[in-house]
Amino acid sequence: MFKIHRDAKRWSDKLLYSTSPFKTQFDIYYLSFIVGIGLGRSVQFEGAMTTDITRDVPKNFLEYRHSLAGLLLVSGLNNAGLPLNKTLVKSRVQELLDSHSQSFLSEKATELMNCFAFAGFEAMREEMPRVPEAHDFLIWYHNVMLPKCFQDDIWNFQDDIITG
Amino acid sequence: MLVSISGWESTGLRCPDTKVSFLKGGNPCGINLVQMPNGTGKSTIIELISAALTNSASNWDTRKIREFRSKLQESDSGQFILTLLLNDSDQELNKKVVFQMDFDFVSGTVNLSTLNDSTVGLEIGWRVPRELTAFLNSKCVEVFVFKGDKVQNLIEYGRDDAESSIKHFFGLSHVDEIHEIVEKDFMSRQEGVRTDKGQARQQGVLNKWVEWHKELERTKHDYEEKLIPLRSSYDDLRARVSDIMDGMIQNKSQLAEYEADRDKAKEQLSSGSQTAFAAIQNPFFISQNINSSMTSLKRNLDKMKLPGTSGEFFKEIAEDDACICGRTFDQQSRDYLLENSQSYLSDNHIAIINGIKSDIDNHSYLAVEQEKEKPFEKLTMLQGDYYLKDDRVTRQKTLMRDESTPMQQLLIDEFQEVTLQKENLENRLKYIQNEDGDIRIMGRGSHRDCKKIPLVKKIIKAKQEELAQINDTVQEFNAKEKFKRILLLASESTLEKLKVELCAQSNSKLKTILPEGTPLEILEIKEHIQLGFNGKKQHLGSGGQNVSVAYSFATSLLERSGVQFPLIVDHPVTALQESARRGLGQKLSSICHQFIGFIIDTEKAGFVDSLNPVDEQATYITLFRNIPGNQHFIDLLPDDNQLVFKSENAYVCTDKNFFKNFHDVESDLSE
Amino acid sequence: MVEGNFSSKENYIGEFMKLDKTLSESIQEACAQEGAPQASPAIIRLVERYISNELPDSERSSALQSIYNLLKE
Repeated sequence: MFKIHRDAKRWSDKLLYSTSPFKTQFDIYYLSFIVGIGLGRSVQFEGAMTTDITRDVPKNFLEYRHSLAGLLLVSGLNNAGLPLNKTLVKSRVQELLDSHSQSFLSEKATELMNCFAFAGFEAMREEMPRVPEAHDFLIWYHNVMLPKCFQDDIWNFQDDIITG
Repeated sequence: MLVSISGWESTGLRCPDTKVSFLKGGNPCGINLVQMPNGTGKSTIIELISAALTNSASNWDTRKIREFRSKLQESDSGQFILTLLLNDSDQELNKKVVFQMDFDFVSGTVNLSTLNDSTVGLEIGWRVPRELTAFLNSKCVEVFVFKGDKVQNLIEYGRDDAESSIKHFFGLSHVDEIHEIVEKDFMSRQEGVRTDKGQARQQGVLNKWVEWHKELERTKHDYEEKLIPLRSSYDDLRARVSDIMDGMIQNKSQLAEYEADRDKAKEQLSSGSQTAFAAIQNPFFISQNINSSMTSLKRNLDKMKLPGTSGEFFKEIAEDDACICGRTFDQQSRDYLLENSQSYLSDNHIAIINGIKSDIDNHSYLAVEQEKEKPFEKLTMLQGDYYLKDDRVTRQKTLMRDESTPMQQLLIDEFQEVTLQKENLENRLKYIQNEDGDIRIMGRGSHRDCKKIPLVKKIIKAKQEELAQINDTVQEFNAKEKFKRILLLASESTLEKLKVELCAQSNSKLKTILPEGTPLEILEIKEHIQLGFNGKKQHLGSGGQNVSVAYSFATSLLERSGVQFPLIVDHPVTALQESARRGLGQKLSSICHQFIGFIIDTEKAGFVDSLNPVDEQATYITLFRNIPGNQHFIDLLPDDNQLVFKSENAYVCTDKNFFKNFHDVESDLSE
Repeated sequence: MVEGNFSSKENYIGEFMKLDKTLSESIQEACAQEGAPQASPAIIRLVERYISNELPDSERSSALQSIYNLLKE
């Protein structure tokens, strides 16, 4: 189950209307997740601090399921703190991926994603306590939030493998 | 069937005391023009006609009722009588229907009576003739009684007046009501079924959801009720503000141009936002580091020869007697093979890894293409353009406002206030009718957390289904759902077919009204009427074109319905230039059986002379107040008493020459 | 004058106003689609009664029951 910070709905209400590019809460969830994983922040939250949004990835994100799974895999490998090798990769794959799930993510991976999204939402809200019009928000997100994310010191990936 | 207005009478009200007849030789005339100087009470009369036809007066409060009191005479009571003629030659029906409204300004009440059957006489209450039951409601009447800027409401994006008219005229709104009846009936049946504790608890939960649905419907109804006077006030104020702006013709046309530019910029901004967000949905677009990390992942997976062979492959081999190399298995080697197969990825994971690798190539290529489009640069530019154009509109409005008198400024401020309130309420209404949301999640929580009616209905249906399974009333439930599906399918299919038919019919009428070669047609009827030409959409036509579209649509709707009401229009040709007025005037008698136009003197040019009523059946009525300022009109009245009706406070003249030669002067009074 | 789509003398059956031709045809099609063509006359009659204000509260449940009986599998 994808879960979003319980304050996210009220915070983002103004962004969701018929001509807005954002149609559902999952769009806000995705933006939050990108910020969270990009800043390398995640928060282990208690159940009451979030709201369920959906079990399945919505239609407009279906084509990116593999990429999102890949992103979580890269993050999982980065944060392992171990040299990259075949055993580690296989273990992470078995831990995080599940083709029986519509999102291709295991429950653990979904929880991880939720933790990133939680942190990402808090980071966004800190910078922008009140949202403006949708187009203004989108430009701010691209120009202000995204440049802070996926910096070299947080987001890099080993190029060399140690076979094993 | 033809429904005609044979005339009206009014006494003691803020419009003059008058008796107006559209009959000649006992038959209603096809073309009827009522010329009244500004401030004589045109809007009041039209409002009263509407009220008589729809019984909307039963919802008026004391303040509203007292507003109809004559300011000059201050009488304690007033009366308005509207007479209709119903004619259906096939059914040999020819009858008179009278709606009478009696105002008591002391108690602030209005009572309605109806003459429906001459043998019974006047009966208390608003008694709709059976033949007209389906049509005498505000939504249907709005189609043929044009007030103020109603024309634009049919064509304006975001309004649903056009679709709503169709639904009301052809019974589809009733079909929607039947859904509610079906649900109510089903609920009461379910409650009658005997249950155990568990069933009782589920029934209890379901009942809470049903009660909540009713509460939300009441809230929605509340919003809709509040919107009616607000919209009416908005339309009225818009018309009055528009009149003020009319005085600043150049500024107004400049404003219209700026507003059109701004609206176009807003559409482009919206489209640009969609494109920009679509790019962000691709993680590869977001950051070069994601790109390089994912590419690095793929490279490493390839180096590791992952995903490799699946564990299932080895498990399957282990089931055979011999390995693929030919060596026979013993238990030890079989066990060894099975144990090591665990270290290989399953088919399940292999598929995803291959998908990830394939996506890395596809989406990083897509990101390159998306980058080339520079969606965010474009978006920033579109945003700047939109704000510029929005500012220009605001500045123009301020300029126009500053040029107006203090009274006019108050009116403009009031209009802005009402516009804000209306938009607020419309947004709340939109939210409560929104369908977005996951019912599996909402259905588990408290009913009060779900404030969207369509979702609540879906949740109720799911819970009913659960309960029906338990109560063993599944067949009933399924039959009920099937019935609702049938109604919905039929309603949607009918609406689409009617829209297509009416579009074609309206276009065929429009071609006859507009000058030949005019690049304008109705592309389709959605919730509003979408104008355009050769497949290209157009936001609005010119004032005259919009009027022509509205007339074509309204008369097509009336004809198609089988019950043809008269077309009653306030300022029918104000927005039209002379050539367009001539065109419309020539065609009027062929597009509706009875036309009643309330005009001022400046609308006559090009219009009156072009009218060619069938068999010369037309009335030309001039109505003005009996006040000192109108003395020179009184002096010009013909001597023939047959042509002049005089009351205590007004004159009604039916002489065509007087009508043509009448030119208004300013009146001090406005009611 | 352009003729309307109805023939006026077909407008009424007994007490009720007849449904628009397109709507009654759509109801027939929808019933056929749902595998219940036998139910269309009853459904059309119910809608006609309702529109004509000739379906009092006391008769609604039995009218609906007749339709459900036709729709039950």
